[in-house]
Amino acid sequence: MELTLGINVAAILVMLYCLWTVISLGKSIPGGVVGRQWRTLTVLVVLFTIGYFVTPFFSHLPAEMINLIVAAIFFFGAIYVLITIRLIYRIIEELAG
Amino acid sequence: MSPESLLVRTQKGREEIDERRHHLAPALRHVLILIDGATRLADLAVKGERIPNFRESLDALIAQGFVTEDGAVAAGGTPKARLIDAAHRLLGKNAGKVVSKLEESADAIDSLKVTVESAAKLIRLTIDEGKAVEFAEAAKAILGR
Repeated sequence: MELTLGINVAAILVMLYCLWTVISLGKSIPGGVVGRQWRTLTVLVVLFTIGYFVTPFFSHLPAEMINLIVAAIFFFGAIYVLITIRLIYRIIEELAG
Repeated sequence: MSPESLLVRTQKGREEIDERRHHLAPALRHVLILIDGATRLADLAVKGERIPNFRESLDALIAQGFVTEDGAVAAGGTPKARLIDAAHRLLGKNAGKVVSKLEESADAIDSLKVTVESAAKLIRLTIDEGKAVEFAEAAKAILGR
């Protein structure tokens, strides 16, 4: 139980660092192909951060709610990965062009 | 101004084109659209010959601060100086990285062309796709096709 809580806290800390990073780096990318996707990624990181903050309280939530939160995190995680892959490919394409 | 003068939109002119922020009269706006930062005054006069009172409209745009003469061209600046000026003019506060690239480039036209291509990619990726096209067009006008 303490191990689970420890991992949850670590995950929240890393996600907070991600949030700080995505916001601070975003200031130097005002727009363009990357800037547009960056804003979407920032929204997703905010959502993840909120979701991660809920995890230490899972034991107090009904099972149905937990399943919904986990499913939502998986879903938005998949979207995050998709955007990242497409963005990397677009940058490579641009640099190679 | 001489027929060789290059007119460019000021920040106010770009705001009007992008957002119609200054509610310019349609006739003046039409002339402002023609000011692309790459066409010399002599060629502009040809482009605008069908527009009534073209020259007066141009003077009005200059007087109202929507358009100005490209300082680097007027001062007989080097191609690099003109590119840097174009970057400042088009990108405003976001010009920093592009200007650094141009400043680090060698002065030879071929080197500047390579740098411009790289800068246009940077603009397209991180600033604005439309401005990347505008910058590339302005650079072509400065460096030749």
